[in-house]
Amino acid sequence: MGELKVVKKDGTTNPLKKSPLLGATLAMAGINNTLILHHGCQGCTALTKNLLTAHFNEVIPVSTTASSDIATIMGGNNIEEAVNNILKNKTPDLIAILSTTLVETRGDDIFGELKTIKNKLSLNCPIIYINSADFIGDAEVGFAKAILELVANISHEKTETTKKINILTNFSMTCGDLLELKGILNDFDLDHTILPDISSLSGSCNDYPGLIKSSITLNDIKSLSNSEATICIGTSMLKVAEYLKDYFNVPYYFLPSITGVKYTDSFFTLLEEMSGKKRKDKYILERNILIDSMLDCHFYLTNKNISIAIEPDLLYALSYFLVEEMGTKLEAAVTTNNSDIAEEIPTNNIYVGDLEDFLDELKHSELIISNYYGLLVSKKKNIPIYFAGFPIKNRLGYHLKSFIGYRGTRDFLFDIANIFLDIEEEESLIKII
Amino acid sequence: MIKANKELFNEPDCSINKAKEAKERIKGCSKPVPGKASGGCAFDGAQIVLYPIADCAHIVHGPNLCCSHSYFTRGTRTTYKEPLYNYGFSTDLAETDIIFGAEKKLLNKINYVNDHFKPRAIFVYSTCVSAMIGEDIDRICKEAKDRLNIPVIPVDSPGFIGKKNYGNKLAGEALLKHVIGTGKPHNTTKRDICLIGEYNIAGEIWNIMPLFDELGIRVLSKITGDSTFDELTYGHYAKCSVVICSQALLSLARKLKEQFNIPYIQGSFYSMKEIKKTLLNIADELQDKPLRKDILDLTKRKEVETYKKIVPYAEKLKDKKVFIYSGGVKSWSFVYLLEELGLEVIGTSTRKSTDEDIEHLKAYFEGKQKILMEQGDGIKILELMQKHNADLLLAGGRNRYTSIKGMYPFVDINQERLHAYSGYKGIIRLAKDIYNEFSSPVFKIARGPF
Ligand code: SF4
Repeated sequence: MGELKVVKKDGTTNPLKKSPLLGATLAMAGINNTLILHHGCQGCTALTKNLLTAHFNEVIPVSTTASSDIATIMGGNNIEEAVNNILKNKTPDLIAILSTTLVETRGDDIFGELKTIKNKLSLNCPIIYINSADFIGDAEVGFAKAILELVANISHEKTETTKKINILTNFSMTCGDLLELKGILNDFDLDHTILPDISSLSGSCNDYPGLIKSSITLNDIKSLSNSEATICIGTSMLKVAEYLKDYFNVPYYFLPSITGVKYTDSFFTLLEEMSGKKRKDKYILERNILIDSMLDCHFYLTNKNISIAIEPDLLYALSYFLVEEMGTKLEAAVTTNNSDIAEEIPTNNIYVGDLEDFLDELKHSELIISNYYGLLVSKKKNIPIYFAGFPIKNRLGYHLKSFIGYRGTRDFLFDIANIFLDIEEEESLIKII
Repeated sequence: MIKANKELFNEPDCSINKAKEAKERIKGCSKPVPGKASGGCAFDGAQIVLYPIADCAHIVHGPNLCCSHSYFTRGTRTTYKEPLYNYGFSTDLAETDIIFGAEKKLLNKINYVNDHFKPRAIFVYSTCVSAMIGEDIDRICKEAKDRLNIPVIPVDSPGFIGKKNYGNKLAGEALLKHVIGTGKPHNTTKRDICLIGEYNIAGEIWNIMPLFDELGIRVLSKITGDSTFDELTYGHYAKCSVVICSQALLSLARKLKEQFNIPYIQGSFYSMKEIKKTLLNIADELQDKPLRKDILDLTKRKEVETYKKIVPYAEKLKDKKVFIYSGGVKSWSFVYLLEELGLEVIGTSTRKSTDEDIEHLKAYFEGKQKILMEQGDGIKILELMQKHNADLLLAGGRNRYTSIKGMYPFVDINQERLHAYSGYKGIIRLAKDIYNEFSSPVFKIARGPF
């Protein structure tokens, strides 16, 4: 466990981190019937949407206020005009204004503007504003911030305590993770609100989207305060869990990850306690299979050098399992914000940085794990790459892969072990020839 | 939160004020509508034009998003071994940079990129944020250029100044101002041309080059698909320039004419009809009679060959109804192309089309019931497809999901297209791709009862 180092240099070369705007957009794509409105120039929206579409193979509806001419640069009422235009043929339950770096630099009084709009347009849905400028951090931070603003603005005071639990999911969780998670929760008959639930981006909603589709409604958000407890998955979401505790007295349980044996065990124990039910036999079976798989795979993984460049929560989830439970070494890790979890990552070599820094750190690595952009590093260093995180543009269906629970961990493990198996086979083939 | 110093905006030398003049110059470029706008910004558009220059580095002077969401995503291809466009360089502006300025940071980044990547030249892009805080990239670039002894070229393309198309134009301006006219070719021939507006997406240029080679036409300068810096510097030695499928870079061609007396023609290499026409126009412009004859011979031979090669696909394609959603020159050249393949075009869109494009279409469609759709969204496209019993949608990547939601066969003909459809080779490829779409059993299962 090393200290998180921040690379000091001017600017970036092949940035790893994505914008908070992207994270906030993805978070809001997990709330039903939301109108996502970017406040800024249309370019930010187009580039952000491109990445999301390429990753999910789905279109997420996002509008922009399209600040354009000089008058708007000096501050203008584009929000009002945009909202007006959109409400002509859409009836959202919630309007989320996500600001870009441009309008935050300009120093707009967005709160003031929203107040005027509310009065003037007599909106019958709430409107929230999320500062998602690049200055606040990366996509993981933007994602958590959006959910925090949502809770802070929408959730009402506690009126009763229900049997419901809140589950906070983080930026790096895939559609596959969400589907797996929902399956598990249903098997415990636990009434729950998953915040946010992006699983509809798996393609399960088949009509042409005008607004966001999700299982989580505005009413679910309103009554988060009444839930019995919160389970927070991922360090980045802790702020939201703390908010729910501080303001509404909803206690929380924190799991930095639900990947690997230890954390999945903890998760299931927690669910057993909360539901008062034993886990179904199938999960005992799944655990047995995972343990057996780990025994099968360890021949290929022990003491192998791996390096990872990815957002902190996923970096921790994957590296904890690989290093602490499978015995690989984490030669280097590069991540995208100075999350508290970074210091827990099992390596002495961890940075907040870009892919150039990552490349410089690779000395003995036999495998790298990163998103699509890691491809360049892999090519340059001639090291195989396993794709995880966001975005993955060059693989189909990766948004449906799951890394959580016994089953997700097992699938991930086999993927990794097979890469090493291939390497060894190739080496022995060369020897034969 | 930071308040921008509004006084800065009265500074006559500030890049915004300069931008303002530029903006005023583009009368007719429509203002994006809040809440309805989509598509990239000027910065994005400038990159599309300049990124293909494979031995140059591109530094984005802006916040993280501009670079991190755009690098390593372009579909351009090159024969250059290690294209520098695979690298995203950014000054990654932070809050302190906004307060204290980041010109030093930019200068350091330029030095760093020069030292570590040895680019032939460096393009520096301003963005919304750097332009708004009044960073003087012109001056920084000049300073860097004098010291490093390589061209360091400012591209003043903040996103707020206009849409993607306008950014294309700004990139053209930058080339004209700083690159074209600065070099000299080894030799010249009377058949030297300059290709403008083809970015070699999916390798389109490679479908066209063999034709030029066979005809003895030398492409002196490719602006900018599969190019390197040097060939751009002597583009002005061409005898004629050919603007391919691009309205945005027409202004560049016009200025080449004004400044260097190079005549230009507009052309397209989609469809046999257009290939022939474009090549003949080049011959006429070069006043090259023998070339004219060679072209007639070559195109005749190629057409016969092409028709032969599409025979295996023809049966499945015949009389199928297709709707094209694409702008500009493509809106009509693809109409020809599809009809050559035996499909029936039920209509096309006219967004981004000029009056001239629309005239082309009207003349061609004369007397027939055809749809000319202006700006439309996915829902409108689907409605129309349904109403007219269309079998296939040809559009840009953004509408791939329109077709998937509507469960229609689809071929991508824009930025993210998988295959090149230009030249004769492209025609065969398109026939194959459409054939594959119509052969897929997936649609029946997807639409079928459940
Ligand atoms: S709109 Fe402005 S801030 Fe956004 S990507 Fe374009 S240049 Fe960058």
